[in-house]
Amino acid sequence: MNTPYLPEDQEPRDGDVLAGEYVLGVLDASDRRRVEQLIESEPAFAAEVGFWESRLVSLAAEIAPVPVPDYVWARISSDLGLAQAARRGPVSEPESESFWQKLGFWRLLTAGGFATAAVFLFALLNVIRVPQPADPVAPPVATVPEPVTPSGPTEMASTLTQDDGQPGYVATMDAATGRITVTPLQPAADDDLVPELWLIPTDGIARSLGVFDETVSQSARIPEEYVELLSIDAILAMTLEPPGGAPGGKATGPVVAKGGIQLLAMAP
Amino acid sequence: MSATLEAPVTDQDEPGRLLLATAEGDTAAFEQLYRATSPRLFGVCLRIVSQRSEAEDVLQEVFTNVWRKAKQFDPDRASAITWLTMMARNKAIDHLRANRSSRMSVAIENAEELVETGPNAQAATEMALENRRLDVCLGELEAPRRQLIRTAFFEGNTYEELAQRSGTPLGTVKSWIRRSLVKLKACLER
Repeated sequence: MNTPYLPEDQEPRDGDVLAGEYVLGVLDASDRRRVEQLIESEPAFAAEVGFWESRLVSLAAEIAPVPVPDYVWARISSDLGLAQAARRGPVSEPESESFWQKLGFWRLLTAGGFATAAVFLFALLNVIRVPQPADPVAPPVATVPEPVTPSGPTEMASTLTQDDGQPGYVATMDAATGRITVTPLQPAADDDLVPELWLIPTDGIARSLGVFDETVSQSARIPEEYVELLSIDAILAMTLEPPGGAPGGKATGPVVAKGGIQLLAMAP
Repeated sequence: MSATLEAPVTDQDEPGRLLLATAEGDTAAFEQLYRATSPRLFGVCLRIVSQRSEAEDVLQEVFTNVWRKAKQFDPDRASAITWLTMMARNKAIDHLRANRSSRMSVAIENAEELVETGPNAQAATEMALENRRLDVCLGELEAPRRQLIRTAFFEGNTYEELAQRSGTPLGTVKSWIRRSLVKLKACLER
């Protein structure tokens, strides 16, 4: 074969050595681009690269696999529009369910993620607890709906993490009062869309908890039939929807943040 | 972490089949391919781009590329694992070159310890078979040169960085590696 020559190098070398240098990874950026042009234009050189790739790849077998955080797949599928493609499918009902069932993967956040989220939450809770409007007429005990777990903690919290791993929203919920407070931390910037919060219990079906404000902490009542679905097995996800909320109660926009739910054992 | 994310590649042809299906636009096959191979490719990316969030970005870029370029995969020219691993390496090295200043430098004597060489590391059977021959041929090189080749591969360092890290003149490093590659090739073709 002829001998490709890189002008910047002092000594010319055979194509097989240059191919080896490329696969080994010792070339700088501009040499790498030149080599890639050679791969495109010279089949014999491309074959040399193939030779080194098939031999040196075995070194990579020494590298232990590392578990990948689930949001990386969420980012890939969102980037490529795979989730949208699934939702646009001809049979809308099962397709959209299968999309939401994929949210199951998001439940499996890394332990590190949970730990960070928990620390963050406890720090934040002291700041954002919104005072409940007291009802002066009714006796306080009678107005409180029966708690889901009367003896256990009823207060829960969730850090909704963005694709980049940063916390996007924090939600605190109280099953006893049926109220939820959502605080935006790093709002997803989109002028035309509003964040809508979804509760996804173990059945994988998303229930809307309403549209929230993008800039300030906001409190809302959780629909009564959803209160009992609040648990550490459920997750929360925020999507961007048209103003007024997702048409027909089905999420249409991209998921911008999601997170698991934790029980808060608060001091009395 | 889900067990599905760490699914070992038990069937050697499985990634190849999934990659060919991905080339046909099969999203389910693409997701399966991701589940089966992403932990291994993430390990490859992390060795070169040690910053975790950056390595995640690179992995995302790798699989976005896999989806777009799956049609270019030719099972007659390379195995799927080789194709995927090299794409991950190339993306990681390109990322490293573009962000050189952020790179932490570890002296070469210590670098070897960073590479895991336990029995579990031999899991990828296809690569392990090829490994025996490469091991033999690397074994024919003098120890410092063998280590230089290994460091270059695992760290994705340029000649300049290797020279700096090993405290060896640039010209010497270049000529060591080039001569080592010539020897290696002769041995691998034997």
